[in-house]
Amino acid sequence: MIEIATSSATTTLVIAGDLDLAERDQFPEIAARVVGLRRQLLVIDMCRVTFMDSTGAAFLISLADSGRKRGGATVLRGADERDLFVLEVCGALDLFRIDRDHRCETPTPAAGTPLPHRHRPA
Amino acid sequence: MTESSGPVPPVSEEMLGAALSGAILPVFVTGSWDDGMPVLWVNESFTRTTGIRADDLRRRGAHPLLSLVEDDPERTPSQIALRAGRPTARMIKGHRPDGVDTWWHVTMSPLPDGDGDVPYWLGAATDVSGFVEQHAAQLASLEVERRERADLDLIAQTTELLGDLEYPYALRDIADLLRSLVPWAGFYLNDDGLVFAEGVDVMSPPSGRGRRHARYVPESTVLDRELAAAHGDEGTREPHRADQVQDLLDGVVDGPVLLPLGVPYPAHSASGWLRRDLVRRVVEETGAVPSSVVVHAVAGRRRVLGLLVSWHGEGTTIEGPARDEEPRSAYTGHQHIDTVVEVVARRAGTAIDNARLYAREHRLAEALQRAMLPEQADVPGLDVWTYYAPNAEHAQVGGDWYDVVQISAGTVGLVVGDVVGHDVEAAAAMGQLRSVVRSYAFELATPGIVVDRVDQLVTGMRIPRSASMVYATLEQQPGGVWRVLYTRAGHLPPLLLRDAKVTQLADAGGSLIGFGSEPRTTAQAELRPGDVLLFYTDGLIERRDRSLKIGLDALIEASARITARDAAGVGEELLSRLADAPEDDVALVVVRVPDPVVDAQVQPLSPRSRRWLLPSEPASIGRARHAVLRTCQAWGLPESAAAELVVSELVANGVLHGWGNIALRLYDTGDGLRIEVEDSNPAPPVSTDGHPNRVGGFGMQIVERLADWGWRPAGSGKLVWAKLRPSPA
Repeated sequence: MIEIATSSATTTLVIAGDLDLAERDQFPEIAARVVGLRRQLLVIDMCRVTFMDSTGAAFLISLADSGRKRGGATVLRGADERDLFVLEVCGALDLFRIDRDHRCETPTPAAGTPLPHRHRPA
Repeated sequence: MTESSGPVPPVSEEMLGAALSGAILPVFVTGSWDDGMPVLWVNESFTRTTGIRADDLRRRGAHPLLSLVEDDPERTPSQIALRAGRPTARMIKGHRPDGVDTWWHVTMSPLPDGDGDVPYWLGAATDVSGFVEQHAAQLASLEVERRERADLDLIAQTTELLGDLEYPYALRDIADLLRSLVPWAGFYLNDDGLVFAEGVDVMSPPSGRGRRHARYVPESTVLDRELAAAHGDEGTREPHRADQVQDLLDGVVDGPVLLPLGVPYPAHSASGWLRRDLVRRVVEETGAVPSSVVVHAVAGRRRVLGLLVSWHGEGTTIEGPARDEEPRSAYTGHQHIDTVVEVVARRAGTAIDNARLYAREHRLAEALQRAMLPEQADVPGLDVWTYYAPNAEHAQVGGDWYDVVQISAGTVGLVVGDVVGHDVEAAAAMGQLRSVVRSYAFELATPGIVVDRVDQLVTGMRIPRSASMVYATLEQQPGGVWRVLYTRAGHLPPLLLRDAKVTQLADAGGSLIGFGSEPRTTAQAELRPGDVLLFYTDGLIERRDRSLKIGLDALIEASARITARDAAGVGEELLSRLADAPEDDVALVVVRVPDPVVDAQVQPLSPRSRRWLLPSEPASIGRARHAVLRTCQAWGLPESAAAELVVSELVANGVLHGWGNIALRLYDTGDGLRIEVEDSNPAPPVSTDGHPNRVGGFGMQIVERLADWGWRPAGSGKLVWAKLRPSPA
């Protein structure tokens, strides 16, 4: 699930769950909405992402790339080692500012089952 | 050989003079360069061939001979030689009295006096027109040959590009090739109205259609200015009635047509749209305003799919003055350009048509097969593993099927069935039967009643094949126990495995579906934690060299020895012992109730390999990852995070590029996890994708970083394997 929140200067994308080919259908619409908001800063919150592969990475890269073309920046927070590894293999780490100080909130479990806990990048 | 009869007397000066006068070559004598080379004497041949006498030439002033010949680039060096008094020879083109052009080879020899001056020149001319024409013809034929070779080469290159229409810039590259012949060329496709095309969307319907061409084209001021310049006030001018381009698209005319761009057309007509788009593009790309273009139809089998437009250079530069002063007829090789463009257009039409037809067939077959493939719901509280292997070499479907459906919370419906035969008709009958069973399963709870109703309906539907099946419902009871209700219609009994004891659920038997008049009965069993329920079709045990009874005994014996503590492991043990060379379709469903107490204590001895068969759909990627995670946990392997990534990329590739089922296999090599993914696409995976805008370009690079990998052909498709490198930590 992907949520978009916005303030005067920042668009925040909160992603939860798996970011893979199964989610690809919603990527174009979200990308169009993010671009349409025209904020200088895009924050991608990965705290609740359970898995990301190259398809998911390609989506984040397209977001960061279109932001950069307009002179904006993209911050990645809450990404774990494996997500960063995938972005690194895709040759795209330069496109992102990696927020290593961000502390993911422990999400409140909705229906008793705890969401998968992720250990933070060192 | 003649013998000399004595010394020949020397030639007298008189004879020399007579020889010059009577020579068949035109010969002439001129004065010195400084005097303007007046013609002092010509022989008869000169007068005869040029029609001019020496008197006439004298009246023509200085350098009178120049008036007889055309200017040529050799003139200056030749005159330098004359000025210096050196002999010279060259080819010149002159006119004969009858107006025919003639090539002369003229030699000028100085006749010096004793002082080193040259007061006279002796000139002689030879008519070499024949040689020159022959030479020119040879050059021309060489040129034609060279051009034909170049044209063939260009056509060969376009054919190569047309071979891969999935490449998104195939048409742009072909147009670029054509631009070696003409200043501008481009493709348009008629996909619900004309659109400029750099590549082919193969997912579009196979025939071009659309008569309203309204895609947005940015305004170009050049156009209005041109129109105004050509016709004064544009507003008063009536638009062109004839829509040549639409006629071409409709196949009314074969083309090619010459489309004038300096006249207005109705707003949404094909000609008008094309004119707007073309003028904008050509102006942007070449800086010139085209006045007309040649339009070829890109024709498929049934319809014209699009247009190939070429501009041959007629028009003005953007500032206004005429760009090309040469008249159109002077454009060399117009004919051969039209031929090449025509051939390219025709080939492109066939290739686009084929690609779209193939894509449509592929989609159709894939959609139908996917609709036929078994489904397995994930059931909370149960460990379910399914396996399906059609025996047919090419089809992904056969006559066997299974379904695991969640009927309501805590109730699961489970079918295993077998339609006689394993051809396409069996698959079609299976598809119908499967839908019927599913719909009654959701409506009616008791298995006997469900199958009764199936019987009734099938009798009325005249399904051409007989079929057997088992239908069971599993209801969750308190204490981790599940109640099993089942009925059998001519099908082998399900097996219940408990503590290495095997029970056949052989009650509630009845005839094949659609036969018999007795009402179906329902039998009952109980599934406790640690119990395993096996549903299968006869392909698992049937062999030509033994009876079904012996096969069933072998299955029971094999089941009794199972030690695995997960459904996938149970299935793996059964398949490895029984189904290594199946002669028929095989469907197998393993349901296990997890036993939280015992499962954690006992280390199973079952083989460390697992397999899953997944439908080619995006949801399978997540399922494959979960299967890998569970397996890594069960085998105590540490590199599960990397395994998850590798499996995700490999299965995603299979879903994107393969079709039909995807087989996933895992092996514990003792030296790292080995992952195998098999799909039905024989094309090998690519590590660095040549086309950067294609999805999946980085997938194999991720695999490469984490694992040793390779691939080999398998069946009609390929098998990609990856062996994870032990984690550095």
